[in-house]
Amino acid sequence: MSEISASIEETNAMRARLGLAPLKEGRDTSSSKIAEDNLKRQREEEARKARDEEVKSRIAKSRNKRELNKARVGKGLGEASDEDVDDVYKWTMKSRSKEKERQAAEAARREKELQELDEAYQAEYGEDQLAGLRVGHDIADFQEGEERILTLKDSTILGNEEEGDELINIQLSERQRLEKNQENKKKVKQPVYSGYDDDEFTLGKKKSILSQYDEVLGLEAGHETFVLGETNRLKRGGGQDGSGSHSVQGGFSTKDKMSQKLKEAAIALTYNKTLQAQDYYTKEEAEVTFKKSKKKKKSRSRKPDSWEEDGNQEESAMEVERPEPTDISELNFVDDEDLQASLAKARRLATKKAVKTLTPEQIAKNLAESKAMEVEEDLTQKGGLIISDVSEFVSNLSSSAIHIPSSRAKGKEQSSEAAGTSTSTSINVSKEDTDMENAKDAEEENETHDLKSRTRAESEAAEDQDVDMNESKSEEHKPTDNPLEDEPLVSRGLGSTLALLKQKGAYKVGSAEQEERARIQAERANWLAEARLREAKLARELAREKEREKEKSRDKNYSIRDREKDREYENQRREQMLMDEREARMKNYKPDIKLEYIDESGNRLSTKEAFRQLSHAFHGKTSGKMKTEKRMKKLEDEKRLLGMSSTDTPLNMVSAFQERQKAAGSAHLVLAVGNRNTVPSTLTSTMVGGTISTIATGGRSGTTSTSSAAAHTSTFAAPNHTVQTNLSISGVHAPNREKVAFGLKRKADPAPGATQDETVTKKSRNDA
Amino acid sequence: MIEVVCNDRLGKKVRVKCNPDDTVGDLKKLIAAQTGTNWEKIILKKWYNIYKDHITLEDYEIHDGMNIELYYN
Repeated sequence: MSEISASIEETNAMRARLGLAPLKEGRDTSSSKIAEDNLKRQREEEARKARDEEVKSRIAKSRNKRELNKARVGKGLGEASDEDVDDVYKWTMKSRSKEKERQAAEAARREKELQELDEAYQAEYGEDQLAGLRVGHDIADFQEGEERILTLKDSTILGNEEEGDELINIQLSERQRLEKNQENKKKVKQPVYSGYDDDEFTLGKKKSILSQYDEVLGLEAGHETFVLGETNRLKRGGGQDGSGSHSVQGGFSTKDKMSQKLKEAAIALTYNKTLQAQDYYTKEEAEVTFKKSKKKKKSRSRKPDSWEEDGNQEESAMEVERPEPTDISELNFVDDEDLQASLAKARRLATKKAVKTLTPEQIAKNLAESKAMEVEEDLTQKGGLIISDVSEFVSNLSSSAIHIPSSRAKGKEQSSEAAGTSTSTSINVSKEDTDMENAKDAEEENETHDLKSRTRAESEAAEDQDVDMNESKSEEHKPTDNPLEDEPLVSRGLGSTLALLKQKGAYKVGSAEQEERARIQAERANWLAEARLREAKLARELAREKEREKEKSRDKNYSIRDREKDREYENQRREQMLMDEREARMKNYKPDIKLEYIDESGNRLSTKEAFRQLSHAFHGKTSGKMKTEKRMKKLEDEKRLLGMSSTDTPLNMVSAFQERQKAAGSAHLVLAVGNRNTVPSTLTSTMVGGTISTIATGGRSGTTSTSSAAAHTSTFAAPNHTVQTNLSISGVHAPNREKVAFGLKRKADPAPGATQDETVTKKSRNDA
Repeated sequence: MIEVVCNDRLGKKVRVKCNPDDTVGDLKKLIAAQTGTNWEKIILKKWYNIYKDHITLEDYEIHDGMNIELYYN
């Protein structure tokens, strides 16, 4: 690549065209040249300087030489002196005189100096110079005409700064010190302890410890002093030095002081005669003329101001007028207590009275009564003497009950009838197991009744023994009245409904869980009540406070700002209080939580079932047909169980039996006849042909003599009923009965076995 | 008089004679006169320093025989 370049001429032409100066010839124009010039000049300068130096030094050298030569003028050591070199005497004399001369000159000079100094000093130092100096002694210490030398007192730098210079006379101060020490020594001899705690009562400077042993070393501070020249300025010319002047000065100063004092205490006798009488006193005048009589202050610390008093009076009036605000919530909780208390008191009184007025006969009577009652109670508890159909029935019950299917009974009707005619083997047997259950139920119910009554007795403090008595009586009666208690009718009310449910077992009482729940609920109720009470209290307090505030605000001196501040403070306080309250309330907070799962038909689910439901909902599939059916069946069964009568079998056997008993007028039923221990089918004949023939089979005749002997007994031939009773089995033959029962149960199963005893069946058929 | 070489590395290399007390603007004009480009389009650079028009070459310490980068805008 070729460079584009222009020659100098071309460039200059271009520059001319562009309006620029032409190129300067030469490589370096300005700076280098100047620099060179500078260098040259510098060098020249330096050279010149060097020359000058050389010349100068040469001149100096020559001059030095000359001077040296000048000093060397005179005799040398080696050269002998021209005048009496050998005359020692002359030489010494000469040197001595020289010395004397020198000393004299010196002395004269010193004299002159001293004189000058003295003169200067004398001229300056006079009486005036002493003025203002403090003397550390009493002026009375100086006698007139006496001469004393005063010196500056020793002091620290700081002390000097504070107090300034002080003149003292050493002799005087020494004497003072001595006196002081002697005094102290005397003090030591005296008893130190005065009996009074002086330290407590001495105000101001405190005494140092064991001050009586202190020795005074110097002059103490606080001694009397006077100042020189304070007053003698007036009296100049009494030009006496020293103490004489001092005393005079002292006298003057005391006089002055006195006059000053008098002047201060002077009372002007002039007064303004043209002063007019004024209607009003100024405050000062009033204070002067009227002295306030001191009122005796009452014990009450402060009498309220008029407005305050008014307020108080108003308040009291209001208090009289309006009754105390009654708190309903509080009353609710309290009034009962009062009643209780009064009742208790009355009761106590009554008992006391009774005890007091009791005569011996009455006591005896009471005792007898109570004994009788006890006996009765015992009897009822044992049930030994009470004869009722149920008790009889139950006592005769065999431990393993007979179960007779109704259909089979029907089938055996005829045979039992037949048996009735021929044989009279009948046993007094207890009823079926269902009946037994019923009886148990009844008992249980009695118990529950008892329990209920007991709880009631506990809750009602007023009733005590009477209730128990009544209860026991009712216990007595109940079993005799109706052992197989009828189901309470729902139509009678909620109570009876509950009782029915309880009886049926649909509603279980007294499970631990339920008790726990009940307890928790009670607690919660308690808590709620407490919370309500507290809230009510709080509200009342707030209202009261507000009222107070209102009253306060009525007062005029109470500024708005104050009020606002107070209100703010009050609000804060109230909030704090509320918070505290809430916290305290929540301390005992125990919520009653119970998770219950319920399926679509309203049945309560157990946890397992609930989980199944959840799982099914989650997975979107349900259990199979069989399982569902099974469950449904179970549910239905339960429902049916609930729907069943609790006092009877599903086929109403009990009522049938009862009817039959009524009709027969007997307390027993014959369930089997003959020595084969079969159950006759005539049991349910009432339903079939209107003829009842119940045949009870006795114990096997072969087994025991007693049973066989008693096997055949009476037969009652009523127009329509045939009853064959067998009394063979009674409480005496308990083992037999058991045996029988066993046999019966075994034999009851096969249907054809029942027909073995043909006589019975035949008889019953004939009757039919 | 000094001589500077301006190279745009695109095929133009100019050797310009100028005075040290010329401004950069004058140099640009001289370059423009020799190459035929508009002087206002010329940028003179040394590394990242763009020379400004109103400052003399002396002040930029541009000496004889120096290379200056030539750019256009």
